[in-house]
Amino acid sequence: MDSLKPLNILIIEDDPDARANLRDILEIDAHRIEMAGSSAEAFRRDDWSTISAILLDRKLPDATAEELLPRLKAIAPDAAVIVVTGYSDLQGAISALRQGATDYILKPIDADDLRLRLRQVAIYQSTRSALHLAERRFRLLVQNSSDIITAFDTAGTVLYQNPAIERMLGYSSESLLGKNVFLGELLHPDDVSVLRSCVVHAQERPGLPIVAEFRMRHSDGSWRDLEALVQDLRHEPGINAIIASSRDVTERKRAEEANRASEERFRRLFDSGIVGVGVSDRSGLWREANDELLRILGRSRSDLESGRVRWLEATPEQDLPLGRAGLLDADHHGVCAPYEKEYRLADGSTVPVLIGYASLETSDNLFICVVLDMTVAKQTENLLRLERDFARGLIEGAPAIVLVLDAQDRIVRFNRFAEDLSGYRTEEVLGRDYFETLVPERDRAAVRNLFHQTPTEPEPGGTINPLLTRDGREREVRWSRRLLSDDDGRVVGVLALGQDVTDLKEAQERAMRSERLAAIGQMVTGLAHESRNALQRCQACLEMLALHVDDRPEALGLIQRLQRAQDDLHHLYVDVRSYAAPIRLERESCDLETIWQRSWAHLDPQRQGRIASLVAFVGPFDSRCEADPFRLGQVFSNLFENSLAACRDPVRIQVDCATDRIDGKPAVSLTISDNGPGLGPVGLHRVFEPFYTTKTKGTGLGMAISQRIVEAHGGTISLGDHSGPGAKFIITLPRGTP
Amino acid sequence: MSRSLRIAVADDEPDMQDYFRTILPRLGHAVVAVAGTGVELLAKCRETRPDLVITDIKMPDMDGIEASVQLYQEMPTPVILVSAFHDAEFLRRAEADHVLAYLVKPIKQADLEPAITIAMKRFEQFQALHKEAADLKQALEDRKTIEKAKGLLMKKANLDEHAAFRRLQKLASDRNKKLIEIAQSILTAEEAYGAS
Repeated sequence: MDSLKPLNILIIEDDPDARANLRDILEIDAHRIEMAGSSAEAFRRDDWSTISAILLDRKLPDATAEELLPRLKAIAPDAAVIVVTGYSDLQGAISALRQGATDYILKPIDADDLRLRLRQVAIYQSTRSALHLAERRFRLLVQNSSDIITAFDTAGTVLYQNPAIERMLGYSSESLLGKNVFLGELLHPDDVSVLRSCVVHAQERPGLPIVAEFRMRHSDGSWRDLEALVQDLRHEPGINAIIASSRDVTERKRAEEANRASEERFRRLFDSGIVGVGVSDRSGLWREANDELLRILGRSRSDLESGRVRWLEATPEQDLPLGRAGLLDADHHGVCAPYEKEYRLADGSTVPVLIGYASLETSDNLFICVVLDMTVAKQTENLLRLERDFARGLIEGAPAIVLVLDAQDRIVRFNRFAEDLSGYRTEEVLGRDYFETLVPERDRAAVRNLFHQTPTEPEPGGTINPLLTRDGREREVRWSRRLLSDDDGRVVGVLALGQDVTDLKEAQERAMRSERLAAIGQMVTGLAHESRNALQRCQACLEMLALHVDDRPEALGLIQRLQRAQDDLHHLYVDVRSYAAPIRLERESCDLETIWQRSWAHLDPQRQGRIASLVAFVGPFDSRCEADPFRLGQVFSNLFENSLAACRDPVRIQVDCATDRIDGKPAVSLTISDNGPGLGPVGLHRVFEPFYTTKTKGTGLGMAISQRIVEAHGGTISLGDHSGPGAKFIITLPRGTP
Repeated sequence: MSRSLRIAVADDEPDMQDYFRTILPRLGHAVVAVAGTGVELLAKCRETRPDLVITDIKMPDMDGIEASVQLYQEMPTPVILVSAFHDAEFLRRAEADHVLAYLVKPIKQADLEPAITIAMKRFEQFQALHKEAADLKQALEDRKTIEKAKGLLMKKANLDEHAAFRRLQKLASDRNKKLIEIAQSILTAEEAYGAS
């Protein structure tokens, strides 16, 4: 009994003698005794937790043992209940045992037997209390473990789950009880077999932990990586289950994965051959190098392995300070800003490189270096520079205007051609508003508007608008424009390429005029034919009328006036026809002087009563050329007639000859001038215009016809300088047939 | 003042017909025929045999140029063409030597007068030249015949050239005939003998 603790025993017995007898026996073993004479008295107690054994009389006046046992078990579950009963009531004792009684004892009481039985109770209770404590400790440990601890049977049914699962996977431990760990509910379907084989393994070696890795679904839907120790502890009576102790290794796995990826990337970089990668130490020795780095350095792998490749030796003197600064940078910031330098190779050649390095965390002596071969880049840069020079040459040398305006219409670029055409120097116009400076005022708003609507891509054909030169002349320019944008797609200006089409436009206008004239010519020829018949009838009737009224002078006067009007009309038809009809030249070798002298002679009637002279300075000059003498005669007649009409007596008309060239071919140039009032400002502009005349008589077609005739000869007729008095015309004719 | 002419005129315009009828007599000429078409002009010319024809070119049924070509074949008559057209084509067709003037409408009395004078002068010259050419041609033919007759005489009468020619002259003089007639008789006789 010595080591055993005495028990607190409650005796519930209605017979006082029996009660005292029991107490006496039990006190021998130092048990503490409480007593109650009835169930009612017993249930009045409030110290049930201290009671470790109850001696219960089978038959109490207020209840039987069978009735009381459930209540006692409920109120004092840890207490051992021994039912005291008589021989005659053995059946009742057995029924009490079924109700949860620990033991029974027959009356009359055998003192030794009672003591022995209570000793057994004491032993049992002491063991149980020790066990209880151990289990409590263990349970606390399990409950508070940071690992997920799961107990399940061989079928996989969860018998116990600690609360750690809530923190790690978001499920309550209760919700997992009774679930099967092998059903792919939480376990990743691919990992079911993994766990199963682990469990089988564990069962083959009871007690030996087996490592398993599998994935489980977090309540948020994500998969978590778990690492578990699975142990078959069914042989442990307190456990009797297979235990899995798991922890979440997702983060670790992720870190490992990231590490591996980073290592892989570095490895790829190292192996790629795009850049040179190597590890060097402070002494300038390359410890490691990839193939590309060795290629750049012009060394072999065996050179490297024998420790003979040093960057210090390959670095030219002037680049050493750069290297020192870079090392300092790497010491302070871990990495150095990449810089360009050169390697001088053993064969004396140099390689331009871009280099950057970082100190290795594991050692302050080692650096990892990245070296980029810039040879190609340098070559590309040179090519680019050539390209740029070429473009600049093109822009400056192009026979077209290259104009760039910024978003505020200011001139940003203005090439040589633009200078030549406009008469402005680039520095004069840079920064100035293009439209204010180089567009005639009347077109300014429209052209500005047009430029503002420049498309992103140049439109085909372009648009033609005038450019105002420095000296106030206008040139027609065909513009092809496009928008200029910066990298963000914002419009920063307009690029305009301009072609000088002034001459082209004039030629087009000339072609159009002659086309129009041809059409008019056809019409007028028809008109002239038809009108001849009508004119003839008028004429006939006029003359017959005159015969009828030859005794009436006033009527004859009217007929004369009719006759003049009729003659004017006839002349007009003739002139219009000869202006508009196609000119068919009949060229022959002729002497210009003869032609103009003949024309002058034909004007004899007009010169009657006038003082007029024709002075020609021909000298030894050869005035012969291939021409239509009749047509040229018309030209001279026109000029002389005009002079006679415009000048006051004495009229002096002068003809000067000179040799000239047209398109590189020999030509004759005649200057015909008079001493009259000149053409006047309006006449200067309109003299060759059809129907322009200053005379009261005349159709105004004379000079227009003359111009057509001269141009039909492949020559030109123009006004001479009008600084002096009088009119001055210059006729240039090719000597041969053009 | 030139001599008075008998003139035929043609124009499809009544105004022009009236005009010619009025003006030409004032210039001292007689209008013997007035036609409105080419066919009518030809018919009237056959009837009246005018000294001069003044005709328009463009007329119904037959134009003036065609009419004047036919007229010339029948009776050489001078022609003045009056037309509103002066195309190269018309000018080329009018180049026949009897078309002596080509006037472009509108014409005046002042244009007609010298045109008629010049045309007639030219025609006379032309006719004279024509006659002269014909005479020369005949003379050449006669000469050939006389030479042949002379050759025949020289052969048949065994005469030299001079004697043969003298004999021909004597025969002509004795019979009061032309030398050519004698020559022809000789050749005819020879032909008669030769045929036997």
